[in-house]
Amino acid sequence: MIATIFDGLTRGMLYVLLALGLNIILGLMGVINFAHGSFFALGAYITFTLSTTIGLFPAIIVAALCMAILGMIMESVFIRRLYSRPPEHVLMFTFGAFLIFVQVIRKVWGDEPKPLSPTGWLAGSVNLGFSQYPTFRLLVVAVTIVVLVLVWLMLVRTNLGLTIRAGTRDSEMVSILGINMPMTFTVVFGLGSLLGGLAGGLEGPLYNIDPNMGAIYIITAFLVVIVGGIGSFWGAVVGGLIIGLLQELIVQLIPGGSSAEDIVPFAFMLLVLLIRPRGLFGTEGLFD
Amino acid sequence: MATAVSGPRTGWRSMIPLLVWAVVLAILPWFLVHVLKSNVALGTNMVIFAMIALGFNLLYGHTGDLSFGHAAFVGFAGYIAAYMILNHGWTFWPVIIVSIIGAMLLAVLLARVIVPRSSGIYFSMLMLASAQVLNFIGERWNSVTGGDDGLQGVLRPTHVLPHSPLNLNNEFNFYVFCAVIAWVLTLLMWRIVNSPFGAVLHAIRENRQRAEFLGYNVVRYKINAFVLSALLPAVGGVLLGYYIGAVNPGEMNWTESGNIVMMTLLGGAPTFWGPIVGAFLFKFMQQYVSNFTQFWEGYIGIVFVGFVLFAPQGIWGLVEAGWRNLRARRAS
Repeated sequence: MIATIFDGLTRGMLYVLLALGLNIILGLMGVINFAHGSFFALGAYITFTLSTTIGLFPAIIVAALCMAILGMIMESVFIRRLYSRPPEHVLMFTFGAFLIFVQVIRKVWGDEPKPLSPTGWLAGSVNLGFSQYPTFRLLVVAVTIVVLVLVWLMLVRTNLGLTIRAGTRDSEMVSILGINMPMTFTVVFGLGSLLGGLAGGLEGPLYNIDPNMGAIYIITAFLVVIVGGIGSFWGAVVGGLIIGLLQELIVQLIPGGSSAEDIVPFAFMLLVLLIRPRGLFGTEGLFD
Repeated sequence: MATAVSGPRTGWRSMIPLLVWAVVLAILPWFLVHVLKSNVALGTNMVIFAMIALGFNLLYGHTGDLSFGHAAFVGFAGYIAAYMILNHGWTFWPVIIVSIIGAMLLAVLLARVIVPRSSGIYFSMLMLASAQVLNFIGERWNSVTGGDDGLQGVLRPTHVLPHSPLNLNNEFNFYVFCAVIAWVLTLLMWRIVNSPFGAVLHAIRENRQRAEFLGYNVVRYKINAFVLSALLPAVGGVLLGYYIGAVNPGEMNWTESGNIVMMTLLGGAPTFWGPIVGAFLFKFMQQYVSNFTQFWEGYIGIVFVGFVLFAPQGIWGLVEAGWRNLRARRAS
């Protein structure tokens, strides 16, 4: 039972990272980024390729940084041109980018799922007192907590964070006050993509790496964002953990529950939307 | 959404585009077989998706709401049809009527829940999530939907018209059948778009607030447009079931909804004929590019992204703009 809860938390941690990246981009720029799913998948694949030479943990970090750079390039070269257009155009652009990235992955790495398992000091398990628990899952929890603390400190303690929080409320006003918003947008897009790539690198050794992983995870990330509330830091955290927990509990504790695995997040989203349409921590509200 | 759909015209001239469309449908099989050395079945596929995209565009191009979940109506109608055919042995006409009613009821439900509460990209997301629920139900409810395999063994009717042995197993007969249905439904869409109702939809697309101030009940118009926009995809879904001989949950996946969006934008969302042009081009590219590379979706993606960035009015939007320029130059 306790091990199941831990499994749920590690899965939830992946959702938290993925959804938080999506959510800060959505909150600040109003951009729903389908390509976020590609950054997630690419993060896993790059981790897979690099892990044989530089080791698993450094590979995860490098892969996440690569995704940050890719995201910043995508924002500054393409997406920037679309801010003045109807918001659907950005949505369609990122959908097209998503399709292209999936094919790039297929071309480079092939259709076969790739095996990636923790090696070296991450391979074993640790005695937690109540049971043995895989070291890598503990690493996922630790890395996520560290990253969340860093992102939170950045948001509340730095000038950049102040700009982001103000820009989420009203980015036009912030830019009138003389802040370089285009620069901020690029940096935030890079930060969001970094979180997506990091989630991918951490997911690889836990579950599966295949070209369609992005298409599945990005939907769950959307649901986490809707459940948690648009643009909300704590919404992504709490929403991701709850959905991850619910999924593992149902899959592991209820016989035949694995057939409900995909439905659970939707059911939970419906429940939340009925009770609280703006999401758990949403201030502005999904439906405004 | 700069260019408006060509406004309502009167007299026989308003029928010219529809007559041209009939001619295109009539010569398409000949063109595919003799000029492109392809087959009639590709034409059927093109026509079915032209219908789907045309219906979808009533909501996006004409009303301004981008649904990322219209594949749900295609798949839902397809499943109802396949279930009735396989389990109850129903014939074509009852099947298509019940499937349409089912898909429209689903549309009413979704529209009443989603339309009043959201707009813009959140509308897109909620539609995506709703369609994805159906996709997962299709994958998991094995006893009814057949799970991942879907429902297989849908046979085409051999006597679709009374007193006439129109056997749809013949590819050419099936093409003609689909083309006639497509033309009739296009006529219906044309009437809707050029009606006062269509004019209000355009007003909502251009400026929702102004339409509201003029006293129109914007939400009700949007709900009606939403429900009507499910009609053609539902018919397309049933015909697609007959065409493939099966339905599967992948038809309702969110990437399929994305394909409908792609066809429409490529062809030209702000125009009436754009979705048809886009669906033809998309299905043609799917067939031809996939001969050269298994990564054809990537190439279509690149073309699509290019259009989003540089020509969001789509191919037919460019054609209409060029046509207007030409006429303006001739007039001056």
